[in-house]
Amino acid sequence: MIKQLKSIIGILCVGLLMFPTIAKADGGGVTLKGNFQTEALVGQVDSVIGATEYNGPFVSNSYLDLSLASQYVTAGARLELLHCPLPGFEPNFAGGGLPNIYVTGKYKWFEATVGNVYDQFGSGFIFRAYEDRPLGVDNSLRGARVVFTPYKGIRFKALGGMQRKYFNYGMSNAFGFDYSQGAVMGADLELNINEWSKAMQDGGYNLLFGASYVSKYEPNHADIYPNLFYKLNLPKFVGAGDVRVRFQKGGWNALVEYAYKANDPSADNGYIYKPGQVAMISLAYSQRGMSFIVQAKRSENMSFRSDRTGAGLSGNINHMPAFSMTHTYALAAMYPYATQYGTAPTVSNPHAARGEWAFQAEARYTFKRKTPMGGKYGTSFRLNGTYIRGIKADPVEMNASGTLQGTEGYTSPFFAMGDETYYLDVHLEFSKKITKTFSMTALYMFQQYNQAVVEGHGWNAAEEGYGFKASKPGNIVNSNIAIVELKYKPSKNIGMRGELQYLHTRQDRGQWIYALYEISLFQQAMIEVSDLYNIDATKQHYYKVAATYNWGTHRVQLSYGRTRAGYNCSGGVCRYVPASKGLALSYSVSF
Amino acid sequence: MFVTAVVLFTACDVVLEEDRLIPVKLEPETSERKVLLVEFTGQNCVNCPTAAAEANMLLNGLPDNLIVVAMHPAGLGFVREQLASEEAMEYLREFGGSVSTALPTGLINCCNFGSSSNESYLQGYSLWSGLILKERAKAPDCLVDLTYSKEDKHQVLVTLTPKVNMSYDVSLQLWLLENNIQGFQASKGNQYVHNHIFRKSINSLWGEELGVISGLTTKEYSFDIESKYEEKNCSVVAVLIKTDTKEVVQASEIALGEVLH
Repeated sequence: MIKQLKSIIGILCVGLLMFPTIAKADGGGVTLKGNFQTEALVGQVDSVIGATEYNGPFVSNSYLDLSLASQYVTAGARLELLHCPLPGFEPNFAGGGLPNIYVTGKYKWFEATVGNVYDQFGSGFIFRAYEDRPLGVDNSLRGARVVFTPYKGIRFKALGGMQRKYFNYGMSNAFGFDYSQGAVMGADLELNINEWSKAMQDGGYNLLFGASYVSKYEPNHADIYPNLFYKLNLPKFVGAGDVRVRFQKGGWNALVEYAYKANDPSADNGYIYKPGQVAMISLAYSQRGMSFIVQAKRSENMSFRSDRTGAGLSGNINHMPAFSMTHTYALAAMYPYATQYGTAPTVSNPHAARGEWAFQAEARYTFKRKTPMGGKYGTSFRLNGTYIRGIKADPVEMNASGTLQGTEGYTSPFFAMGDETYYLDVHLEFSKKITKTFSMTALYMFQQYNQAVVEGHGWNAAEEGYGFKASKPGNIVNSNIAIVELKYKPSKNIGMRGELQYLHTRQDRGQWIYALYEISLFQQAMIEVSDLYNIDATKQHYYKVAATYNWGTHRVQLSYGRTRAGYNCSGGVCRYVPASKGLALSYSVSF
Repeated sequence: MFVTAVVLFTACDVVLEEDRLIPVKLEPETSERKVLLVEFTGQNCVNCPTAAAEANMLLNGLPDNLIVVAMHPAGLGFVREQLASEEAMEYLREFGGSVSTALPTGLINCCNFGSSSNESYLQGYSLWSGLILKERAKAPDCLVDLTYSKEDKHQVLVTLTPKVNMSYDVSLQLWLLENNIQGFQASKGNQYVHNHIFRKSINSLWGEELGVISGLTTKEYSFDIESKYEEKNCSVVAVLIKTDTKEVVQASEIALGEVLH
């Protein structure tokens, strides 16, 4: 079957490359749309950087999305070929098939979907089904969803199905879908009050009330024993609810949201029965030339999976929004924070977080052009701060099993904070166009990263065999990071960009330096060379050369070099990526 | 919408504190079954000490019914050279693992706990107790007894005593383990004590094929132990498996030193 799938995908690729316009057929009000994407690697062993084995001599992640749309009906499917995936994805991620198929019908105020569903309730505290390919996340529900908008300002959704959890190789399931052991169902109601009030509309007020409820059904497929004398009485249904209010007027935007999850003993929380909860408040203002946002969130014990014994990135029903900024500069992203959903401290990792208090604030200001601070073209500043700390969590008495399994686990007064800083990030960014062809961006960042909480282990340079003179072993990595980016565009068809970055720390692997040079030609081609060098511990270069070409909706990139081991994060969710070296190919086309 | 609300809002079980623990009795009270737990672990693996603690808890509770083997598969980023084994990696691959396998994970009697179309051999440590108890409850098809002696070489005599009519082919694996090895362990430092470490196979990883055995069968093996292993800390594990599925029929262990562990 795999060979057949490969043949099909090969034929499709040739067809797509040669006749992309033919693929966009438009007859009888039906439109065919699609997207093909592949990332491939011919890996090399490089034991110096820890790049050892790969899943095969040629590894790749390939996806083909197709959809047919008409006025009332849309149908789509996605073919995935992941049987030798790129390094770092979870083992069960490998497979191939049609894990995503759907048909959606819409008529006036009613919409129904049968098949795979992606959706989110509110901020995602109790339900978010989404796809993130670089992370290897796809937790769609295969079932059905209905959406009613019976009157202006009212929207009601109900959905239910079985959650995707990796692949199923069996020939009896040629669609390539591994169902979780149970089902997830939910409903969401949103009321836009301003739609019913002319006074509010005239005043420019927007007021939204939202409420959601999600329940997972998980039959007891595995007994859990705290010891050999007791087993746990596990709930078959676990419910979670969410309420939210959003207010907006002019440049002001405020959101208050609260979610509660009933007892949900799981491998993540150490099989305790304490309910989970999360509260968030956010206030933002923006106008031309300036904006700010301040927000705070407290969350505890909010890991919510359709398989209570699950781990890793699969089977999550919900998603906690990231409060730390996802940096794009290489050294600013060296120590990315992963949102702590609430896990049980263990023998191995006593620093595991039961939850977190998170605060974030950002202010942006642009000095206008032709002012003393703005200069000829204007100058922009951005100041951002994130502070994340643990919640105070005092363990309760053990029960008859001699463990915390089956108990409430801990007590935690709502406003009490724990002793540990999990993450601190303060950075100031300055952007300025100097001349018509030359602009620059400079950034300074101070960061504290609790490696024990985020990665499960602290650092000890001497233990790792690093010879550089470092501080004594610890959990927090303190970094000062300086970045300069220069852009030069002498003509419409030529552009150049250079980056120079420096990270100073006396912890973990010590100092790093990074340089990049990129030239883009005729708005179609780009060549890039870069090098990341560890000054203290390993003294290794992580070099890369890449060439990219765009034509129409096609994009192809060929690169060669080393990638260091680290974390790939998006929206607070992180995947560990092992070190690798080799020739990488990336291709995508839309039609 | 009303029906949806009713269905959803009643779909929540709240388990009161007094109802959360269900007492269980060991069934049967005594058993001749010896379950093999193969724990895949690594020195760079942060959560592996927790899995090791779980294995120790089970060993203390079921000393006559459980044998633990800790394998450090060479090639995984979690594994260091000190305890790494190529044979362990080959063993892991046989049951669906790869260089990307997250640790810790384990095999219980090399059983497939999924289906034929969706195999599931490797199990997280929170599931070990229940699965081991289920396997322990099954009467063994064959008993495996070991005796040890040493003259010029180490000698192990394996006695197989079928308890039922065994109509399937079996193979006998003989492995050398070592205990009490001090070394690095992530989150524990350099003074961690590693036990039940798989060092090598004595008669090839997948053992000697014996075909169908119908009566009392004995096999004798002579072997050397390299000087890099501490003899007094070593033990030998014998594992009788079904040749086609590799499922464990029975296991046994004997210490070469004074105590087992």
